[in-house]
Amino acid sequence: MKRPLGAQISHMLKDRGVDTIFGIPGVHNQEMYRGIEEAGIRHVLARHEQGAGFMADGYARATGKPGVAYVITGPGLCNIMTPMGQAYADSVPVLVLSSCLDETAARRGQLHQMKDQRAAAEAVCDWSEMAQSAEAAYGLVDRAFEEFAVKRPRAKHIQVPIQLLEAAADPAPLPEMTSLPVTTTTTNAQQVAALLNYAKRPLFILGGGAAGFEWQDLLSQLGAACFTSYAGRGAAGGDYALDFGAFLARPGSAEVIASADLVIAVGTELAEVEMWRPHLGHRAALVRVDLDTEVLSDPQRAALKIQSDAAGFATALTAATEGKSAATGWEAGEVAEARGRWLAEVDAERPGIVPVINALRDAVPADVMVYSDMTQFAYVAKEAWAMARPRHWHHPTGFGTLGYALPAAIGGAAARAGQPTLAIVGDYGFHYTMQELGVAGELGLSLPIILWDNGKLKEIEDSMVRSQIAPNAVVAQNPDFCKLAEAFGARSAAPTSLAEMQAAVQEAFAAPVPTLIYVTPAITG
Amino acid sequence: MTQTTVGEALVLGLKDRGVACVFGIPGVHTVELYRGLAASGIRHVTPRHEQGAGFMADGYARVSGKPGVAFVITGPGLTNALTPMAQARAESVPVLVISGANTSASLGKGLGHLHELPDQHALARTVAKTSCHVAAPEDLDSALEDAFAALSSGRPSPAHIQVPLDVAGEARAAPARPVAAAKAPVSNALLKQAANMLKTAGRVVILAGGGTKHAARNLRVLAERLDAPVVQTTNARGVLHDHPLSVPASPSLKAVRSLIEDADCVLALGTELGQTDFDMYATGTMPHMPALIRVDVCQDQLSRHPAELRIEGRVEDALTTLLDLLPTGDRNTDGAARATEARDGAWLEIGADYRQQVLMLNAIRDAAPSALIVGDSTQPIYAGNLYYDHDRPGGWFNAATGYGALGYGIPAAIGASIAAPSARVICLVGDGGAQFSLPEVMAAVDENLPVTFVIWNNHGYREIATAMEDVGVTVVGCDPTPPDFAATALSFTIPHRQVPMTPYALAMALHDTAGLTGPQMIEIKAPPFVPAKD
Ligand SMILES: Cc1ncc(C[n+]2csc(CCOP(=O)(O)OP(=O)(O)O)c2C)c(N)n1
Ligand SMILES: Cc1ncc(C[n+]2csc(CCOP(=O)(O)OP(=O)(O)O)c2C)c(N)n1
Ligand SMILES: [Mg+2]
Ligand SMILES: [Mg+2]
Repeated sequence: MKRPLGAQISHMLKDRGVDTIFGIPGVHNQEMYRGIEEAGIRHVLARHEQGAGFMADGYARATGKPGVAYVITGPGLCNIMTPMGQAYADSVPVLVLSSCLDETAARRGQLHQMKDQRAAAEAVCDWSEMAQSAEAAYGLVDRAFEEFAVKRPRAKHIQVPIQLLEAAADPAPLPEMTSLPVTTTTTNAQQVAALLNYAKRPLFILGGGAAGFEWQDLLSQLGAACFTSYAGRGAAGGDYALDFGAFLARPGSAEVIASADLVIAVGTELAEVEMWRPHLGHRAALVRVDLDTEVLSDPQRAALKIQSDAAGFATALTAATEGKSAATGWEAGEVAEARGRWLAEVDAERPGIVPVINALRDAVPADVMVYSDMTQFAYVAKEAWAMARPRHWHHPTGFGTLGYALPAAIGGAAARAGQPTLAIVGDYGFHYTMQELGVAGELGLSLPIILWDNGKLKEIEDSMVRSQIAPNAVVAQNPDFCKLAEAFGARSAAPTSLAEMQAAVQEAFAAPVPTLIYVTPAITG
Repeated sequence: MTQTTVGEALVLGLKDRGVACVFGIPGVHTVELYRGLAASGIRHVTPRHEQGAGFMADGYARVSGKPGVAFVITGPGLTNALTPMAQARAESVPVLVISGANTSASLGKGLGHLHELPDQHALARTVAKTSCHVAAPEDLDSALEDAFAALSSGRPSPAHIQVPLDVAGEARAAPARPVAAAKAPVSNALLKQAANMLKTAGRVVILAGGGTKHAARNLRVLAERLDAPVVQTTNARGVLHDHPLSVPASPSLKAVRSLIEDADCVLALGTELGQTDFDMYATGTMPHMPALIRVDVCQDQLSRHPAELRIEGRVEDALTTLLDLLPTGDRNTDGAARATEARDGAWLEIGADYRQQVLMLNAIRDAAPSALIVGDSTQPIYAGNLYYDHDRPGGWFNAATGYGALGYGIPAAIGASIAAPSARVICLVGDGGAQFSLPEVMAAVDENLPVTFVIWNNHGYREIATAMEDVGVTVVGCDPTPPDFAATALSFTIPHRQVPMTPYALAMALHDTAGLTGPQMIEIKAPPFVPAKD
């Protein structure tokens, strides 16, 4: 049956497995809203399009499925550009659908008009396209889903002119099966196996892209040690004795890497934000495994490059190394010693946070999923909080934007009903998206939010001090956070000891609404 | 010669150009901008989101007439400021955004640097009129010149300067002194032609845009001399308060359109003839404007619409000369009667709901004379944009027009207050729009600004719910539960009171709080959206 295209698009998304859309309606995109309820999709109403974008990101990171957002022309789209930039940098499948004006060249000064909306969006995502017909719109949606399945996933944008959204259109074609990602050939796997035959100290570097596979058995069969990137934390399970952890940013990690006689980096950009140095530091051959040729061709001097998904690589390598005896060059003691040393460095760099992190980790269930913001608490935790499961800690790593954690946690919690989710935010960063608390309340999410209040933009103050600048503009007044949370229908707690904090967190997981847990450095006494 | 870093030189260059305040959020990537800031004497206001920085700079610029400046970090800092930049572009407001950029060697390589964008410079150019990249220390002088030229010549527009992390800390000499821009005089020959057309016309109508806000006195003299009704766009409200020739109503309304179409000569001053003023019901047609004379600072703008005569220049300059060319003395072309007819027709046309809301606006104006009313996209602001007679030129502005970004009101009001510390600023914002930028109220607390945040709380996106219902869409996503505003105000440590939706109650609340020196909140209990029965 013919229906307005706006409505058909929601049906199409539903047929492709979309069960939740994050967004904000306006007059321009109201036709897209026609289809949401009738298609049986849940709509989560954000308080700012930025919130909708981060929620879609959090949902996608939690489920591995694309996160979808609906926004209006102009300001709606501009408001979601920061989340798009974040999802681009961190390889998250986020699809943004917006309306656009029908005619922009001949008519100026229209409501929500900007110079070139499509081009502006394209500057922050994988691609941004305008559909000029229903078929084109359907084609673009299918292209986005296909690419999410087989390529390095990154944010994408589709815009549809208002008149086209209103015009009657046939339904979208039924979904086709998406193809499979490029994967590792037997030859490639055998090449790597051959390298492994000579290696006494093989070292894996597991990135976010590697997190889809449980590496522990393979690593221990090979006698290989590993590091993980921040996004790859947990890829080797929680108790693998040769796991050096997420300490790539420690200068000492370069020495360990230099001592390896084979390095295999899987699903990682080896980005500056992971290492804070231009080169990984390897002396031996580097094998690079990644879906994205942009990553494979970066300046890290790889001896062998394999374009492949991580799970396919791991499976092929398992087969190619069957029966091989484990390398013997690594010792559990040296790994434990290095980790201990680096943890002490982390603690010394930003004192007083590690004990709070340890108490918090002891209080949360093993399957907790954590979303963290740009606060010192999270910078410490990214290194100091060892994860037992992959894909359970999400941080705005690459783009590094403040205000990510709360809305992203909402998107994640909304996708994982009944499973525990935790958000960690700083006192200043919380201001960026605090309004989204109202959404968490509406959805009845049992979400503890750890608010780390050190009374300032501490990371920036520290940076000014390091640069010998008298700190300025780094203190902003805070509201009474607990009262504020209550104004948005949330609960609050202000524990004065670590034990009280643990109790508050546990209560929060059982509460029918979110709970803001206010923690200051004084909590350690 | 004194040595400074590029960051310090940039701050000095701003100071040389009269910048007195910047709105910024520092980050590791912009610390160099902060090295010289404290010593420079330039005031720094810290918003709670870069969007707030951009909108504050906008409100500041609109009220001070000087560029509003924002400091943001590279990447998310800039993407967060894009909406305000696009808003400033649509509304011709001089906003300068200064951002960091990643180290020069890394740009465009996709190495996964913190805050990295594939091409930030290109992104900025999609919203700013000009975006200057300071590739080396010596580029700073031309960057400042180019940016300030874009901000102040022609139709004011947003500009962007970006300084890479490595360049910001490099040494250089103090910045070159600003070059005073030569002001092109308005063509006398064209003004003479205009005067002749106006002299011989029998029924002149003046269309006043935001460009008239610094020429209110001469505009009144001109209107009286020509006996011409003055139709005011949203941004012109306040230029002719309570005057028989004033038509403070939207030219999208039929009654106002008839007034214009019935003229035999139309003089359009400082208006871009944009859709949100002239065709907000999107009929696709503009009112017919007989013998149109346009005066505008921007040549591009002038060429966009057919006109009999196009004069490039500032309205204030053009009016001074034009008045010299026009005879004084009585002239009766039924101006007042034509204006009255348009006003009465417009008042009827806007409907009962909007009339009731305009009465609320009148109550605000009368209880707080000469206030700046800064609005968001909420019901009474839409109503006022259709019909409302403000009492202070430049004292009524909002983002319901042009780019139409929700969330403008709160931060823009803060910027306005900083630019006019002795004025009372009233921010009128809906419960939905308030939630877009509510945390910025804390910046008003930081600065202890006399801003009254008036929240029109109808529990949802009334404007959108109504629009959906009109086209038969089941209303979805229009009911964001508002926070408890009383508790919110308490948590922000500012006074709050709630009033019923009557002009009297609102006036009393404004009276009672007139002496308060810091921010406060007044919440109006407005009727929530109720779906029509079918
Ligand atoms: C959108 C955006 N703007 C600015 C920054 C720069 N920045 C990084 S951390 C930070 C301070 C955050 O303060 P807070 O949340 O209190 O955390 P703290 O460092 O004090 O733990 C700032 C301003 C950023 N990362 N993203
Ligand atoms: C950034 C942005 N997102 C969405 C919109 C669409 N929009 C226009 S008005 C409005 C509702 C505003 O609600 P509220 O502030 O409560 O005002 P009301 O109409 O209820 O008076 C919305 C969502 C917009 N203009 N800008
Ligand atoms: Mg802090
Ligand atoms: Mg409302």
